[in-house]
Formats: sequence, C-alpha cells, structure tokens
Amino acid sequence: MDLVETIYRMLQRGTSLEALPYEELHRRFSHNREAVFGEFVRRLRRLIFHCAEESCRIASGGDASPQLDEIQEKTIRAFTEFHPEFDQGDPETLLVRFAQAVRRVLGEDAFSVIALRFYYHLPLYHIPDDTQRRFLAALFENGLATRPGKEFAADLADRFQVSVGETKKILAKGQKRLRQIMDKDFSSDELRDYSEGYLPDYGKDEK
Amino acid sequence: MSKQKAKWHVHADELRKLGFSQKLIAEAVRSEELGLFELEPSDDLVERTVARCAQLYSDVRPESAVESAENLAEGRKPASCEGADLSAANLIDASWLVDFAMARMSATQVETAQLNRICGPAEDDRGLLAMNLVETLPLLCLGAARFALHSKQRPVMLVENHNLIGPSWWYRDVAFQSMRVACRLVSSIAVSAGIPPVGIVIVLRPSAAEYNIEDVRALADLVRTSSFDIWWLPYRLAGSYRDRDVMVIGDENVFSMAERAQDAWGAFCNVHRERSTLLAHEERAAIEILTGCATPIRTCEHIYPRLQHTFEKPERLKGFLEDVITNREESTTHRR
Repeated sequence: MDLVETIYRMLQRGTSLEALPYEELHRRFSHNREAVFGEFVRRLRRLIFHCAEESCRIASGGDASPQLDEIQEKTIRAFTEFHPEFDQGDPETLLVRFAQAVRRVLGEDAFSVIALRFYYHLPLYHIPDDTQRRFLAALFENGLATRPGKEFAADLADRFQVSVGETKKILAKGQKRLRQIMDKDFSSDELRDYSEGYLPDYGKDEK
Repeated sequence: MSKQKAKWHVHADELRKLGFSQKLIAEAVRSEELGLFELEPSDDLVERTVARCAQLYSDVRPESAVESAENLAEGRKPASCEGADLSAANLIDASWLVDFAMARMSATQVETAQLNRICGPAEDDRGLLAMNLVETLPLLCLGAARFALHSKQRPVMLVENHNLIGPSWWYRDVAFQSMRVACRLVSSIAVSAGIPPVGIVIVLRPSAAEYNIEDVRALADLVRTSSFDIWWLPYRLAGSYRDRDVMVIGDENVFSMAERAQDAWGAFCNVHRERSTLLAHEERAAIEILTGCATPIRTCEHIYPRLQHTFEKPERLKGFLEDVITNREESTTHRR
C-alpha cells in the first residue's frame, strides 16, 4: 500500500473535527480557533437554544412566550461569554467550564433543564464507530426529540440516507457502546468530576 | 431569520427500548412539556455566533463554509455568489446537510492541501490525483447548484455502471458518501427552484446472479432513500456505456472511468477528468437518450407506485432485477 493510499485509509477513519472528543477539540483550539469553535457551537447550539428559551421564560415569570430573536441573542451570548476561556483549563473540563458560562448567562434553573443531555456529549464523542457516533450525536443535538411529522428515527434516517430499521439498529448498538464507554473508558470518579456528578446516570437495575 | 413553529416529539418508549436511562428520557420529556421543542434556532446561528466572537475577540474570521469550500476547490478567492441566485436554497431546511457535508469534507480538504504542498505538483502521480479527486468531487457537485439555477438543467448527470463499481460503496466508503450527500444537497436546491434533480442511470450487470445480498440491500437502500431521478438500464442496452462510468457535473466537468475497480479507492484512481463544455453537453444529451430505453425507478420525490413494495424485501428486488435485465420489465420507451 503506497503512502497516499495509506493516508486515504487513515482519512477514512476520520480526522475531521466532527469526530473528535471534546478534550481533543480543546487541544486543537489554538491551531484553528474558527473551525474548532464553529464545531463546538454546531454540536451544542440546539441544547443551548432550549436552555436560553427556558431562561427567557423564567425571566418573564412564565407568562409571555419568548421571542425567537431574544432566545437567539441569549444563545449567542452564552457561547461568546465562554469563547475567551475555551482553552483555559484542563481539556477534560471543557464542558464543565462551559456549563459555568451557561449558568452565568442563562441561569442555574434553565441549565438544569438540559444538564444531563449536555453532559452525555462527553462520552458520546468517544464512540469509535463513526456511524454509531454520528447517529447518536445527531439524536443528542436534537435533545432526543424527533423532527415534526416524523416517526421516531425517521429524521435521522432521512439525514443519513438509511432505512428507519437500520437507524434503530445503529442507535441501539451506539447506545450499548456508550454505556460500555461510561463503564470502562472512564472511572466513575472521572465521569463525576467531568460532569458535575450528572454522570453516570443509571443505577444497577438499568444496566 | 425564520421563526418556525413545529411540534417536535420525544418518543419515550422508543428511547427506553433502545436502552436510554430513565433520567435521560425524563429530562427530554420535560423539555417537550415545557414547550422547548416548538422553536428552532435559525440556520445561520453557528455563523452568527462565530461572527460575534470575531467582533469581540478579533481572532476568529467568519466565512460562509460552503462558499469557502467551493472557492478553495476552484482555486478562487472567497467571494459572494457571482451572478447566481442561490436564494432558492433558503427555501429548504438544508442546514444540517451542509453541516454534515462540510464537516466531512473540510478535514480532507485541509489535509490534502497540506499534502500537495509537501509533495509538489501532482500531475504525474495517480495516487495524488485520486486524493485530489476525493477532495474536489463533492465540492464541484455543490458548486453545480449555480449551473442548475442559471441553466435550469440537472446539476449533475451520472451513469453509474455496476460492472465497474459496487453498489455498496455508496455506504461503505466515506468519499462516496460525501459525494452522495453533496448530490443530495444540490438536488434539493435544484428541486426547490423547480429544476430537475441529479439524474442517475444505473447500468446493471449482465445477470441478476452477479448481485450478492450486500449489493441487493445496498441497491434497495439507495432507491428507497435517494432524492434523485433514477433509471435502471440492462447491460445489453447500454451501448457505449456498457463499460463506462460517467459523471457530468455542471456545464464543463466530465469524469469518466473505464476500468473495473477492486474497491472505492481504486475507482478514484481510475477516474479520468476532462473539462470541456462541448463534451459535457454531448454526454448530457447521450445520457438523456439512455433514459429513454431504461426503466424508471423513482423520481426525486417517490418510488414509482407500481414498484413501492419491490424494494422492501431482497428476494422481491432480486426478482425485479432479473425482470429488468431480461427486459420483462417495461422500459420508458415501451410504455410510450
């Protein structure tokens, strides 16, 4: 196998930003701030948007429906607030530090609405299988919800151009792998430290 | 910025079946109960956020990802869309597709640019040319949106020859997948502007027995989940396309292959590129003629109703393949 083919095969395994764990994003930040931060925002934008929406609702006393502009502005502020401190700390604590920024801008109560799905992003990007990771990442990006008018997993099936049945199989395998990663790749203490105690989130009966 | 009211839904039972924890599901359900899935962030939220950081911290330069990648592929400086009305693209919810496609492509783009610098001119090196092709093809496909919107013609026309490439490569190989995503995106842009989508004529193998179960499953998935116009053509009716695989992108890029490849990488090594408006025009016309003697399988919107159940089970599909190959199935011409 010649050099170019070897490189091609390596690229097949994926060195793109979308495949990197958060710790690795942190490490690459200084080399390509725009692309890395863009990827960080892309992954978390919907969750933070939901958090911002809840923040607006809480601020208005729950009476008025928040306006899209206001929510978006808050979402952007949560990210921009965090930008200067993106690589100021341990790579493993990237999400913990971002959570603190989110709380400063959007409030503790609003963050609690998304906290668990937010911290699941940490082990999720350790899934080695590209397909499983992409499907699960897409599911978590959407807050575990399915697009309007679609049966469960149909939006993912559309997005990745496979059948719904195949999508469910991939998600099931990915979910198993995610559990294994939380069990074996991290110690319970590490997981707790890197997720403010939100992970691991299952009891023995759920294993 | 668009305000979109929609009812996203958390399928708690399905999530439970997949093994997600009760706490996690409960959190998602609570979000739904709070009405947090009714609004969606605008498609440009990522760009706006990065732009804001650029303003505040002056170390991040925003640039349209698609435009940037296209310009890099064409060797041009970034500029706004020159003369072409791409506003139709705003009519579709393509943000996720762009995210997906660009994320996959950007790494290859950067790595290949580095590699080219190190290795010097690539003209005489087949491997490097193939590498460049892997990088460039999806981007050229995206760029064909401009051609389609100007000329009102299909952005891309393809003769996919199963005697040269394997149907399952579209699923197994990342470069093929990127191509497919790019074709899908450019199709959706074309269709939203009332223009025909990417058209694919598939030249079948001489016998249905030459398709193994993996091929058949890949074919079924391809047909079920595509958003292209697709025709199937028996080998014996393929004429000069019996042993050629041809892709016409836009108005001047013709990629062809005449050797059977062992795998996807081999296919990229075998591809020959010509930039010729005349050739592109001729190939487009010839492919259009081919569709006249091929069996129409699906449009960008749906599988033809009489074939709806054909793609549900591999055995059924294999029988249908046999029918098309032996001409028991009607071609477009016959039905006319």
